[in-house]
Amino acid sequence: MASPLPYVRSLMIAAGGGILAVGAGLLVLLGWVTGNLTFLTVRPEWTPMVPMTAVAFCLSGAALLVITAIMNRRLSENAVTFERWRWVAKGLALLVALIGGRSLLFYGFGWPTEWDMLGFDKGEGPGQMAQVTAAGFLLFGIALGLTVRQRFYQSAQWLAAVVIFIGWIGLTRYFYGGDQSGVFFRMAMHTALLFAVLGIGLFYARPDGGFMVIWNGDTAGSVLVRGLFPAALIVPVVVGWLRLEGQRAGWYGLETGLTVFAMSNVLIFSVLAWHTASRLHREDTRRRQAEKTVMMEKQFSDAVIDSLPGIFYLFDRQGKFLRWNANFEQVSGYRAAEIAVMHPLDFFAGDDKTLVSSRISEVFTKGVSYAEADFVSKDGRRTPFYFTGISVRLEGEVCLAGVGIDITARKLAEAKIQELNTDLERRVVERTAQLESANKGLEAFSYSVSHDLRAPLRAVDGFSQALVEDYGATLNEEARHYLATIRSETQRMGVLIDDLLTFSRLGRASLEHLPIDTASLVKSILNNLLAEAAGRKIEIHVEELPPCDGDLSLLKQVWINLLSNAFKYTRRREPAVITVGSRRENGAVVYFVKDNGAGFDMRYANKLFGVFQRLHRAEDYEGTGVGLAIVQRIVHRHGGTVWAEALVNDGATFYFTLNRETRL
Amino acid sequence: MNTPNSETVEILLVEDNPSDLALTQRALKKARLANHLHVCRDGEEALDFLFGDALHAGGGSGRFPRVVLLDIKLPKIDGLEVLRRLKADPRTRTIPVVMLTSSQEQRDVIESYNLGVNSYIVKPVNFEGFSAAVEQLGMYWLLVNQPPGQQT
Repeated sequence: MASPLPYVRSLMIAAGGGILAVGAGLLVLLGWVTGNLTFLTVRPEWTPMVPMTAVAFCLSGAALLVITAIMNRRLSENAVTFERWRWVAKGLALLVALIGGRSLLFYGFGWPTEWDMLGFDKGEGPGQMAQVTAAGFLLFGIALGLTVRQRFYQSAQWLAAVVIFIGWIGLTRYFYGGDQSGVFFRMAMHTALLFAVLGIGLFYARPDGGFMVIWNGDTAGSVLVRGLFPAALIVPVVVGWLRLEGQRAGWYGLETGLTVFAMSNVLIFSVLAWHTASRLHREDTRRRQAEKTVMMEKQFSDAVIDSLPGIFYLFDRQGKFLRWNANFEQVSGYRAAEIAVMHPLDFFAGDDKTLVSSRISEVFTKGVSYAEADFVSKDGRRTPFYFTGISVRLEGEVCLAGVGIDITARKLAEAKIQELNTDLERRVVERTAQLESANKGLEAFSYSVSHDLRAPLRAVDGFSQALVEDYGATLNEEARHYLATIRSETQRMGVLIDDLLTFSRLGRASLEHLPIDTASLVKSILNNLLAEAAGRKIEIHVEELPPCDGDLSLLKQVWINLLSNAFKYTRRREPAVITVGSRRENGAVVYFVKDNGAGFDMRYANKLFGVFQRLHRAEDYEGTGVGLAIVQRIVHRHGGTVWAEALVNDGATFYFTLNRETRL
Repeated sequence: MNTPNSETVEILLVEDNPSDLALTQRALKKARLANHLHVCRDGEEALDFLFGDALHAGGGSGRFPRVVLLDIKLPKIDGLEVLRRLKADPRTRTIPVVMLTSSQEQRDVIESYNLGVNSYIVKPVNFEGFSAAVEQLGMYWLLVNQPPGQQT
C-alpha cells in the first residue's frame, strides 16, 4: 500500500474527475434546454452530445464521487454508513450500465432511438448515442459496480482501460479533423474527453490495488510502465497526424507517408525503449549490488552465529523461531524444518518451562534477562544451560535474540564443591564439638587448679606466719630463716599458678577490637616501670608508635611483659638503654623493644616463647617462664607474629606484628 | 560448734576448708571480731542455720547475722546458690554478703555481682594480705555500714 499522502491525493484526482463529469453533463443538459450550441457541440460543425449521454455522465461522475468518498476511509469507520454508500454507488453504477446497455440493445434490434433525446428536438445531430458511447457506458457502469467489490476491482481496472481507450479513439478522430459521417464512432468531442477523464478517475479511485500499485511504485515494472505507456498512447497519434498533414499538403504519396509513419514510430520507440532499458539496467545493477551486500551481510551473520560456541536463537513475540545456528540443531537434535514450527518452551520441561517463560516475558518488558535451565533435546536428554536474552528490533517487530552455553562442567564442579562443603561442615562440627569438650575439660581443670591448688599453699603460708607470730620468740635465727624460705617459696608457687591460669585463660577469652593509642599506652607503662626502678640509670628512647586495633587489656599485657623484661635484663647495665619503636615491613607495622641487657643465645631462640622455658637461672633473673608465652599467645590471637634477635651479653630485640589488625 | 555465747550472731562464716577456716578465724580474732561468729561447713548447713530447713525455707533460727562471709566452693550446696537464696528472701536480702574465695574466675565474679553480692575478696596465697582484707571488710560491714531500719 502506498503511503497516506499519495493515497489521499489519488482520491482527490478521482473526485476531480467525478466533479468534471457531473459538471459537463449538467452544462450539456443546460445547452439542450437553452439551445446553446457551444455546450452541445464545442464547435458547430462537430457532433452534439445527446441528452441521455449527458445524464449518463452525471450519473457516472456521481458514482465516482461516492466511490471516492467510500475509499476515503473516514466513511468506512461506521459500518452501517459504509454499507449504505456502497449501495448508492452500486445503484448509480447499475443505472449507467442500463443506459449504455439499452442503447446497444436497441441498436441491435433496430428499435427506435428517440429515447436518447429525452424529448428534445434532435436538430442537425444524429439524434442517438454512438454505439461506441453506449458500449463505453455499459462497460463503465460494470467497472463502477466492480470497483466497490474488493475481489473484482482489478477487473474493473481492465474495463476502465477499455473506456479510456474508447475516449482516446474519439479524441484521436477529432485530432485528425474527424468526418461526421456514420453512427458507430460518431461521438461528441467532450463525450470522448469525459470517457478518458472518468476512466483515469476510476484508476485513481483505487490507488491501493492492481495497476495503480505498479503505476505509483518504484519497481522495474513501474519504471517501464511510466516510461512507455504515455508514449504508446501519444506518439503513434502525433506521428500519424504528421503523416496525414504531410500527405494532405502533397509532400509525399501514400507509400512514402506510411513509410515515414512506420519508421518514425520505430525510431521513437527504439530510442524510448533504449532509454527505459538503460534506466532499468542502472536500477537493476544497483539492486543487484544491494542484494549482494545483503547476501554478504547474511553470510557474515550466518558465519558469526555458527561460530558461536553455544546455541543461538532469534524468535519473535509469538515464539516463532526466525534464526538459529548449526549448534542449535546439533544440540537439540531437531532438523531445521522442525525447529521452524516449534515454540521456545518446547525445549524445556517441568518447572523450567515456567521459569523460562517468565524470563522471556522479562526480555520483552525490560529488554534483557537470563535463565539457567535444562535444555531438553529430541531424544529426551537434559543438558544444563545458561541462556541469555536481549530484545532486538527487526523491521519494527520486537524479537528476542540470545545464546545458550552448556554449563554441565560448571554444574558438576558446583555439585562437587557442595559435596566438599557439606563434608567440611560436618567435619568442622565434629571438630568443634571435640574442641569444645576439650576446652570444657581444660576449663574445669583450671577452675579446680585455681581453687584447690592454692588452698594448701595458703594454709602452708598462713600457718608458717602464725608460727612466726605465736612462737617466733622461742625460735632461733635459723628456724626463722627456714620459715621465711617456706613462705617465699609458697608465694612463688602462688605466682606460678596465677601466671599459668592467666596463660590458659588467654586461649579462651574473646577478643575485643577497638582502636588503641599505642604511643600513650607504652608511655604509661614506662612511667610505672620507671617509678619501680627508681635509682637505676636508664635511658629510654621512644620512637614513632602508630595506633592499632585490638584488645586493650591483652595488648597492654604484651607491652608490660616485653618492657618489664627489658628493665629486668638490663639490671646490670650502666646505663641501661631501652628503645621502643616501630618500622614498616611489607605494608605491616612491626613494633619492637630493644635493650642492651643480658641477651641470650640464639640457639635457644626456639625455646624462648615456650611455657616455663627459661634461658637464665632464677638466681640471676627471677621469673616464672610464662611471660613470653603469654606475649606469643596474645600476638597470635591478634593474627600477628612475634620473634626476637639477640646476642649473649649484647642485648635483645623483641619484634611483633598485629598483621591483620594494624592500622596503616 | 563455734556458736558464741551471746544471743546474737554478728558474723556468719561459711567455709569448708579447715585450714582456711582456722586462718580466717585467727584473722577475725586478731581484729576482735570473733565474739559473735557462727561457722557453717557447707551450703546446706548455712541455709539450715538461716532458714531452719535447707529444703523448706521459712523456719530457721529467726536470727539473722549482720554479715555473711561466704566461700564459693562448698560441698552439697555451693556458695553461689546460698547467695541466690539469701538475696531472694526479703528477710535476708539486706544482709551484706562478702564472697571469700580462691577463685579469680571472671564468671564467678560476674555471677556473684549479678546475684547482688556486696563484696568479693580473692584469698591470696600470701595470708597477710588476706587477713588484712578480712579485718577491714568485717569492720566495715559490721561497724560502719548500718543495715536499713537500724540505728546505732
